Amino acid sequence: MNHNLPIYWRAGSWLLALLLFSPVIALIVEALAPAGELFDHLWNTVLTTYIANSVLLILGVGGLGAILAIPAAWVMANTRIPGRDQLQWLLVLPLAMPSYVIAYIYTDLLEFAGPVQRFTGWESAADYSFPEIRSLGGAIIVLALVLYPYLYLLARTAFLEQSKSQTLASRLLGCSPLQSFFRVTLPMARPAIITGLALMGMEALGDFATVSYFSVPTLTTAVYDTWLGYGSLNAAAKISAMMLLVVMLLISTEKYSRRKQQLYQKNTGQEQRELVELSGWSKWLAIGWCWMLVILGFLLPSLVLVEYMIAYFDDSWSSELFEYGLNSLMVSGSAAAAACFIALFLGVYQRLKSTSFSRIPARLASTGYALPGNVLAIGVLIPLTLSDHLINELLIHWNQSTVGLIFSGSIITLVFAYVVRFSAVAVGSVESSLGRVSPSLDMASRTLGCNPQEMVKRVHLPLIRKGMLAGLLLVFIESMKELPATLLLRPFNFETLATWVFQYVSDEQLEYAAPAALVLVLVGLIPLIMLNRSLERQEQK
Amino acid sequence: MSALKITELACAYDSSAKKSSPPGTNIAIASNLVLSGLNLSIEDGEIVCLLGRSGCGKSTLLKAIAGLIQPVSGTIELHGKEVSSATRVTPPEQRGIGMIFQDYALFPHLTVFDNIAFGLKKKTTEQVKQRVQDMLQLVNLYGLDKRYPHELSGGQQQRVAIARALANEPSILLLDEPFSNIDSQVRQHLVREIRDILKQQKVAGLFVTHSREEGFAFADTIAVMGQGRIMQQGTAFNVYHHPDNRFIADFMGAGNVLPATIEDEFHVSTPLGIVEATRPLSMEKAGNKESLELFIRPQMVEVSAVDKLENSLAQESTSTFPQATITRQQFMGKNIRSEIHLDCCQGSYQLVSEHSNPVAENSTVQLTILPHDLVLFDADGQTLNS
Repeated sequence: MNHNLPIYWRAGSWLLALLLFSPVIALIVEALAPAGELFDHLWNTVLTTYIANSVLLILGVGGLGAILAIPAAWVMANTRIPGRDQLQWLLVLPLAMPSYVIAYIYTDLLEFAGPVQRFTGWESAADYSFPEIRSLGGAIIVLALVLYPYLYLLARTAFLEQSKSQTLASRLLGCSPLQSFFRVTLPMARPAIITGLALMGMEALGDFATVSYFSVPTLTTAVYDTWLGYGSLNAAAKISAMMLLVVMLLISTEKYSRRKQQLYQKNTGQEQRELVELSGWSKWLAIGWCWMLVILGFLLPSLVLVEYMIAYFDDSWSSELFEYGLNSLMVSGSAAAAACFIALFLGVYQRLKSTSFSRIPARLASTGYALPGNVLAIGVLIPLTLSDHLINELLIHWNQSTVGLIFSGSIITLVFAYVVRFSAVAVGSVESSLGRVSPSLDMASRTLGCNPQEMVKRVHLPLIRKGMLAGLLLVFIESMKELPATLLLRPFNFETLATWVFQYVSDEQLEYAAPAALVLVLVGLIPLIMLNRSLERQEQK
Repeated sequence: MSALKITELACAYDSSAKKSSPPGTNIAIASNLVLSGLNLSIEDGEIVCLLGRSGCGKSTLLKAIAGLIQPVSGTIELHGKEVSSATRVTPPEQRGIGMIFQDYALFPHLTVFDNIAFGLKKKTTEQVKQRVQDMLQLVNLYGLDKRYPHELSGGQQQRVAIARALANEPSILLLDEPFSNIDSQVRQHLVREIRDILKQQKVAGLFVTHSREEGFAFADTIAVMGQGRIMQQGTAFNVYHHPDNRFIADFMGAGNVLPATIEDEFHVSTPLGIVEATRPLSMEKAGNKESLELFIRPQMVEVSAVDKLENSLAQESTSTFPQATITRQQFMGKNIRSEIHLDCCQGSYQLVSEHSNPVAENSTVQLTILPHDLVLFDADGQTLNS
């Protein structure tokens, strides 16, 4: 059905979408511009190492993540072990842990002077043979520990959706349980596993804090150095475009792996899941494996943070905490509100003008989510600095005094970047709740005397309120935790909780920012709790 | 005055297709048309059932009448007022139409009361209250006004939908497969009840279904849709027994087809024997036509066990029809439906019969085609009767 919307709505949708898409365009245009000296120099010297490090990081995090997550996912989907109900959601919690906090804590624990090494009993530097944690390998371990839940969640869902009868059939055809896992269960879950790996890869590629803390140069750190160090937007854009290529590669791998998804998901649905009762060593191995992930990825670091907070309470409970907390609240809140407004605008446009053409704005507005934070920041900087210069030049042209940089280096830039990056979450949320509103409700309200605007107000808005609130909350939380783009775009001397914590991590003084780090962890827990609730509801159905 | 009059209506599959072609060039996109050259008229207070195969455009037609999609060409008039033409299309909210949906389309965030009051505008609170209570009384749901839709059964939800649509005093009520989600036990009762409500309120109704039985029970007249237009409109009896063409004949129910030649006004010869007509056949129409087909409903084919026949052979010796074998039987409740096989008269024939007397499967039977008002089609499948 096609409803007539006022022109401002239609035009507004396209304008908003193009505005949100402009960083991508700007980035590509700038990257295609002729290379400057700096880029040539980097290309000839260190850039290949950076690329290699980035690729190794993605592969390493994916490989280690798979080893950690897939067994845990299978155990949770198919077996009954003590504490299964709790482990099911505990295993997701590491996602709430900022990777740099984990990196800091493990460095502190495992380093030269840390408790672990003292316990193992070295006496002089000559005895010291512990592998260096501040290395590419260390970064891989830390990132895998916080990112594995992506893969765990997707693989577990895929295992749960598999029909028991297929495994049974393979067993009757002569497979041992292990053979059956590798020949039937795992291949059937392959699309979900690849999606999980792609997500982990994108996060690993975009990570700045961990690799920076461990001094592992990657493409992400290169973007920082070229922009913040050398002030070359062109070189930064070129390196960002490289990262964009990697992202596109990851996304297309994911799309390719899902091309036959219907083939894989042919379960009859209505069957009772039978959980296997493990016994003996396999039972303890399963329990130990899952708890190891939870303890290393969440419980231990949280405990250390709490301990820091208690020990350094007087120093860390400062006015700065509240000031920066308020900053975070303000920018994240504005971004969330703006993203929700945009999502509503675009969602309704798409709903009311149901043509394939009208679906484009929402898709354009959602592309930002795939960009790593620093790539997005460079993309945002290009059009904004351009308009700043234009404004100033115009003012000079009219013999007025210049106004300085209005956009770049202001809070507006930061909010805009968050909106570009996280609108997809709000758009998705609004889209899915609008999708659940039966089209016949639209027809009913129209025949009962509503014009399109009244219909949106009286029928759609009340029905998607929950979805919009969820979108608002998710954008808020994501913005609150965002670090790489914030570091690049924040105004001078403007700190959010995330940049503040990272600052202390870099200065080897996380103890003093422990309360702020805990706030970030707690805020990060909220969406996980929401996710778990909705997953549980799905499983009950 | 007719409640609804549709003239030469054409609609495309996708409403966006219209934009690509200016009015008058609809031939160019004819392949994309789901409705074309459609004519339909409904009198005041008349209930018409739109019958057709799924995908034939029934729902598209309803949406065009309601103004939810834009036709490519043609006009739609409601009570003599043009609401849709090539130049002007009235938006749905200004048409004064009620619509009932398969999934009821109740607003889940509103109570029964608020659902029914949804379309009531320009009324005082007191008037609204009164109107809603009247409506609840009408559909037998008095006292349920504070419930939410999910707290009601399917039948109750559909009655709320009826109340909501009627509260606005629509000029015509459109019903899109309203009973398909209702349990079969409740359905018959609900169909009768809603028909009574429409008749009592003197509202014209256009009812879409693919179930013939529902259509027969609910409507005054049946309009059979096919090939994007209304093929025949008439009483259920007429459409069933005097179909305009083979398509309608087949759609309305099973039948037997035999090659036929007209002997005289009252006799048609078929390979199985002479069939008698109870109403004179129009000779001038049939005169120049060679290959005719006789369409016989299963009720007109009678079978009787042969051993019984032998006992009373003397009185029934006039039967001109051959004997046959019952190959399959199905008990239908009131009747038995039998598939019959014959090898005779230079060919092999399969017939369907509906009879009440029990005959054993695989037994040999005496076949009789009862004299009735014969339905003959020419080579193009068009009827000779009209």
